[in-house]
Amino acid sequence: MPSQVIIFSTDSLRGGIIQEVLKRSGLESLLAGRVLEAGQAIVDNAPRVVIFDTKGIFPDEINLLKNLCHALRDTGVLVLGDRSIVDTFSGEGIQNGLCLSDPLDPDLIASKVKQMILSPKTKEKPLQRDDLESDLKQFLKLD
Amino acid sequence: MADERDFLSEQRERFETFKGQALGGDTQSTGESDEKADEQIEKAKEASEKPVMAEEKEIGEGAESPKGPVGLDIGTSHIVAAQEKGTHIHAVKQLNAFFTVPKSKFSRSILNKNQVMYYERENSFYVIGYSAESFANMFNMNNRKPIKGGLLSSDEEEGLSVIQAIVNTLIGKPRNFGEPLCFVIPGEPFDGRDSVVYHESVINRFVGGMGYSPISINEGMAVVMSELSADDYTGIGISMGGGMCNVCLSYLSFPVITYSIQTAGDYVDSMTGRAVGEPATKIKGIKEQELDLTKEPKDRIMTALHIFYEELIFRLLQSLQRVLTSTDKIPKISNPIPIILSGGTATPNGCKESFEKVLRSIKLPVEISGVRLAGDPLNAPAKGALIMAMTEAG
Repeated sequence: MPSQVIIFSTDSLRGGIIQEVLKRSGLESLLAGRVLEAGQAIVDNAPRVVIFDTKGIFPDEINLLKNLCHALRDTGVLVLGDRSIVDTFSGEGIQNGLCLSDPLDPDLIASKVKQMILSPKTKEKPLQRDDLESDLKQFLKLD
Repeated sequence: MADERDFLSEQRERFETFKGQALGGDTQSTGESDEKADEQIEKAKEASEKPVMAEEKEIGEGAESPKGPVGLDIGTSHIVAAQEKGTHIHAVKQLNAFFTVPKSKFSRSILNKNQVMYYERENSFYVIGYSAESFANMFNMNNRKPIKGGLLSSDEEEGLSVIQAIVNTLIGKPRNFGEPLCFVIPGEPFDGRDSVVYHESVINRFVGGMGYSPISINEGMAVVMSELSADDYTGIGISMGGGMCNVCLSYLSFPVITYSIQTAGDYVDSMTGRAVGEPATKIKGIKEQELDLTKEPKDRIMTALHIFYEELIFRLLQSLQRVLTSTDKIPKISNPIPIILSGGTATPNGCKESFEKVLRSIKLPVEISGVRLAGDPLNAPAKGALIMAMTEAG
């Protein structure tokens, strides 16, 4: 069964904690440690929610994530990390309330993910895999 | 800058490759493929509820060949091996110390007659384990230790062979090749320049050479695994050993913060010994037999022991405050978390109360629900390592 939630985090501890908290909330997820893996997981699973943990990532990776955000317009996106970085995502179509700055708040993340999964935006518009794949390739400059 | 970036990328690549190998893929799913792992975790949780039956290894008693996972704690003072045996956890321990005697026919005869545990190497007999302590006391000298400050001692060339000899008295080769054996490793020292990398690699090779599949666990985390199953493995595990105090803040079984200080029981012994002009080995014996921190000290040795115990607890909590307030790694934790004390240095009556007293004067960025002493403080790290080994089995 495809995962409803994809987590991207280069920090295995933070990623593991988020994954564990979601699991305890009844949400299966997939954890990816690299941007391209995350992109592939998104294409393969067409998730309802994607979590980008920006802690400790390189500037180039931040740009790639911002590009990904554009391709994920029909998917719930949650951005985590230092305030100075997550705030820059609000200009990329991510709502302020979905940019959560540190410290990592696992309970808040779980409740936001649940809300997003239940929201009409992500519930009623399942991702079209082919469209998403072509969008992602374009934004990740893989063509 | 570009070089630095390349280096970091390379490091991350290597880490990811390692992580991928360790976890069996690039992405980690919590889906149905994890059902078997969940079963193992449940089994390990059940094991953590079981009581520990501990025994000191008798001289001349052969080492058992374990069937199933093993936990191994190679500490500065003792080496403990733990296995699950039906309704309980069975722990066997041996003193991690040695004493050399010049090789001669006469000394061999004395050692054999007294059933002393020893092995020979070049021109010396190496008396090991509890026998070494008896010898040291007999000659009013300090025994020698292969582990110093929690790590393999650079002062002892034969340290590893001594550890191997002592471990071989506790456990033999596994009955089934490749049984998981989880050994305890210290956290990176907070107050020193030593590194645990060499220590961990050497033990990893030695254990692997015995036919086990070795894995390691941080000592503080092992305490959490042993004692905090009812708290969702969330809390602070502290192992107060001989050479080190190891600390781990765990959140839902993830070791968020781990570190150690190289000030522990041996420090109390040596400082007390220096203050009163007695060998540390003798002070250690008195400490283990008589020290009660709830009672007023009645002589100068007890007075010195009280003073250095309090200093140790203060240093430990001061380090905890510094580490926790200077990190951004701690997630928001909605409920107060417990602190678990374990290790031989936590066992004197009144240690927990002294710890609580100092804790009240320290402000931590996480709320503490209470301080508890581990069910079996001496064997908690080995039990935690066993639980970790069990989660890897199957």
